[in-house]
Amino acid sequence: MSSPRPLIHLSGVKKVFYTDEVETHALSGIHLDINKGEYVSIAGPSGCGKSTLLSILGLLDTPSDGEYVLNETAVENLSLSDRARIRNREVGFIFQSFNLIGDLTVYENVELPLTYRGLSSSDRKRRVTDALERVGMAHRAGHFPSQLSGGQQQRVAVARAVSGQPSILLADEPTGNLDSSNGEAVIELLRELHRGGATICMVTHDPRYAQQADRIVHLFDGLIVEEEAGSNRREIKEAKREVKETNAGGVG
Amino acid sequence: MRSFWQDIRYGLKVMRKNPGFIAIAVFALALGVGANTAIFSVVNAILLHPINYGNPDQLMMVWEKSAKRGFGQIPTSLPNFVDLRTDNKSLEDLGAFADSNFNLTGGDQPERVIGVRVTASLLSLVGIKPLRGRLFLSGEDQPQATRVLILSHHLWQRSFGANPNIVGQNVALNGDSYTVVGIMPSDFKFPPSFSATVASSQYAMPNADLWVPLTTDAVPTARDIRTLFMIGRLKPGVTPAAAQSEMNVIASRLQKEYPATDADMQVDVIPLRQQITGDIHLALIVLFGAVGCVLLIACANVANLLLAKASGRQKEVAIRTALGATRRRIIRQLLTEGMLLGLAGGVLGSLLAIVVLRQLVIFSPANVSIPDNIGIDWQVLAFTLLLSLFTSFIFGLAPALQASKLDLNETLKEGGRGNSGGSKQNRLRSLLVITEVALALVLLIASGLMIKSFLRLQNVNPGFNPENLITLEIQLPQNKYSDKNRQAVFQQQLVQRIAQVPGVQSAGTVDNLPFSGNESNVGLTIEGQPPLNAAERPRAFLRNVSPNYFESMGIPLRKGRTFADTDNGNAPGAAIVNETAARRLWPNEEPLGKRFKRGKADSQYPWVTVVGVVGAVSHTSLEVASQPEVYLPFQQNPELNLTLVARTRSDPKAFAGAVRREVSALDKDLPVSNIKFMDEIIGKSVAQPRVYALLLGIFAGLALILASIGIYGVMSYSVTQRTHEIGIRMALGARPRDVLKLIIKQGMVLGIAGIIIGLIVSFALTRVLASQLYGVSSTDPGTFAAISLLLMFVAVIACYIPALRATKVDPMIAVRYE
Repeated sequence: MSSPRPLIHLSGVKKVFYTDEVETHALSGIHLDINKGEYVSIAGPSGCGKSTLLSILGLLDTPSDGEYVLNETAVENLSLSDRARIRNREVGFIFQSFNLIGDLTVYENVELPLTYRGLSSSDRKRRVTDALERVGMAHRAGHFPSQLSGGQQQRVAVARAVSGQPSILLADEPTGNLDSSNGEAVIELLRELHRGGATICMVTHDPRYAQQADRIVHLFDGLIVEEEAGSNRREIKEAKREVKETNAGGVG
Repeated sequence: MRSFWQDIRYGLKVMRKNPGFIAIAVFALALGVGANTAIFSVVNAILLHPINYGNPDQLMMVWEKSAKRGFGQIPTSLPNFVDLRTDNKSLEDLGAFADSNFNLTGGDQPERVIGVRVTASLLSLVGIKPLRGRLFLSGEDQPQATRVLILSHHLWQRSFGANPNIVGQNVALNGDSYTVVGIMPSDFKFPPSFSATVASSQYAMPNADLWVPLTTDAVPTARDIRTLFMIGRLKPGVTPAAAQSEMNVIASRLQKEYPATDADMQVDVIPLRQQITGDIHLALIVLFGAVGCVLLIACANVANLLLAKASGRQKEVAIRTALGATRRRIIRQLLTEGMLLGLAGGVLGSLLAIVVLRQLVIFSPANVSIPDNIGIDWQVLAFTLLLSLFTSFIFGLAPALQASKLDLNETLKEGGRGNSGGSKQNRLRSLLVITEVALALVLLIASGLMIKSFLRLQNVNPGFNPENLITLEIQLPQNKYSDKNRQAVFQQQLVQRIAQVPGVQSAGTVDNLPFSGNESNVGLTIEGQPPLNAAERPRAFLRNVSPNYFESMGIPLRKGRTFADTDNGNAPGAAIVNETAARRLWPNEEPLGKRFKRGKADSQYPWVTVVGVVGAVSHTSLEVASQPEVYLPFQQNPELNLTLVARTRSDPKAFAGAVRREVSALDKDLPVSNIKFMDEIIGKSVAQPRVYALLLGIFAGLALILASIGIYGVMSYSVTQRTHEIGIRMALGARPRDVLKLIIKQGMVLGIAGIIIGLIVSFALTRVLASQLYGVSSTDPGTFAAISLLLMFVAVIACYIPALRATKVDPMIAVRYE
């Protein structure tokens, strides 16, 4: 019996940046599968390539080499417009600094990805209301981001990420700009979403929050050096991958 | 004071650090200041200091007018002039003048010059001393007096090689010997430049080459032949209104004393300054308004640039404030920097103005009368300096106030929360762009209307074909051609000789060529109609023409026949009328065979019979609808004054030499220097609207460029400011075209707001132009729509480049912003 195809399949993904004459290997050959409904956190020290990996996962960036299949579509060589379309349908972003648009109300911020999808206004309204209710921010729909606390803003950002019912939620240090109680609340919100069936991939350097995931992927120098089960999984299993010497490289 | 120098030093340092920004700002200001300085120089020369006569505000033009005939300003007759001069107590002196062209011989070659006959005291009345020699003495305007003349500076230089010993020597005018008694200074011009509607024709004062005394034997002495212009000087303390009241009393007396000729005579006293600036006043005000708009747009642009800069300097201002600088000190620092910018723009603008003025003088038509010596004097420089300081204050104030109102705490904290937000500053910048677009639209619509009007005017059919027509004005000297028969023979021989020149299709003569400015308006008595007094008689413009005149000019014959060689002194008097005259003089009747005569029924003039009807001709200008005209055969009415017209088969310029040779062969003493071409004469007649449309067009073009730069600048800045927001949008799935639409829509909202405001303002303001427009309504919907679309198109283009840049924003920016 064949196992279901993973939602995300990365194989030998590399990312090299060229600045002047310096070649920087941000990712040196990433092999990673994320299954539907899985909650994965990516951990590692600063400069290990976490954000680059997340950018590639979110189609904000393209790999220099390797294969990336998202929801059964090879996405590494798509046009800008196609990438935008897939990003809009398949990916929900939650950023460290919330990235809400100050000129738009809470409602309009949440509605924004849906407008790019060309949904009818009644459809948009239903989804926005639903998303805001899920994060407990429906009563603030008419406010502007500047009128909200950081925790509230991040909840709005979560609502925006889930409003389009994406295949995966990508969270980049979602608690980085929050105090601990607000941070806890956001992590709890993600857990709730996961319990409801959401696939989540979260970058964090806080081990407490990383532990909340099913699986923790440790990144170092552009390589996955360790994978462990998070506290969310009953059985903890360690898996170490041998790193092929040919793929060896460092973030210089 | 020390801190002021510190501000200046720091300002110069800031300027040196931002050469690109400074270059754009200074260039935009220079365009605005330069255009303003140039037009101010013209306004200064024409409106503020139009006359260089002594105490010019005491000088009055005195006109007759006739309400019954609908003539606003008409010259007077010699007897009326004498009565007005003798009877009035308000004027120190009243002078009369009449233009009269002469053939000048005694120089290198015979030449045709523009002379003005003036009463002996007139030149001293205007209060100017001669450069050399003297003015006329009293008594030199008596018929028996020795003939004397005064040379203009330009004629002295042109024809007499600036010979200082010419004073006291004799030269020949129309064959008569005159003694040169004086030379006037180079900046002296009399009559002053202006044009007036004289007896419903546009009359431009001649630019005199020389002056001779007006003797009573040189002008008609009949009370109903009005050929003299009058100028007077008020006695000290007398107001123009008082002089007018007194003249009214004298006019009433003349009405009673001479009912046959002066029954409806009135007198109008008009200050000379008002007379001169009257017809150009509005045009200059509109142009001044236009350059004012250009300057405001330039200021808005620079203010926008400074606002953009100011937001980049928030940190610096915050640190200065934290270190104890007061708000006033900060504002002063920023205003000083603005002032430096303004002065740099002023200097460059003045240089631009000098260039523009040179072009203006070169291209200005005679009737726009831009003085040759116009330039940048201390008043203009003072104006430019004030303007530069004022503009720097205007564009510097908003950014300075804005920068000085910072929230110190927020600014000094690096960044705030990660929201991408708008600000009051953006609203101010948007408001500035909306203003720019609105101003540009007003200017574009004004120039669009002027251009459309000019094109309409150019397309007016003058009633004849001006192509391939060469003309030569000839004045036969009285002493040689006093015999009418000799005049007739000369004319006949001239036409025959010219017609035989190979390549000449046909040749004819006329006394007053269309568009020459010369007119003869006469009252007529129609046979079979009850006799009318002078004021009620129908009037028509009279022309003396040769048989082939109509053919040569291309004036179509509608009925009957044109003149033949047989219409000579021995034949019954014949006349041809134009369609307008036929309709007015014999409404619903057949004009052919009808008889009329000049003047009253028992006048000395013979009855003439209408033998033909020809098409109407624009005679004074393309703008003026055709007037009633009657043509008489030259051979039955020979005179000294005639203009040759010859239609050539090819470029008429090639025939100038041949025409000169033929005229000289007939009479070697006749000047042949003033050959003109009909298409050029017509071109000159529309020179004023052309220059006007051209200048407005240039200023509107500048406004359009500046406004589009403004839109571009604001959108470009906005894209930079919104980079993070655009990154977020792209991360959320916005495609490049979504981003393109977003930015263009933002720009177009500003553009459309500006256009709507501009349209409202234009509807209100363009009415001022109504009197300057021909065949176009001042609210012409076509122009309003086309210009709005043009501006909208330009706005889209101006937004497109920043929008395109926005689509290149890397969505990673949303992630990297952490």
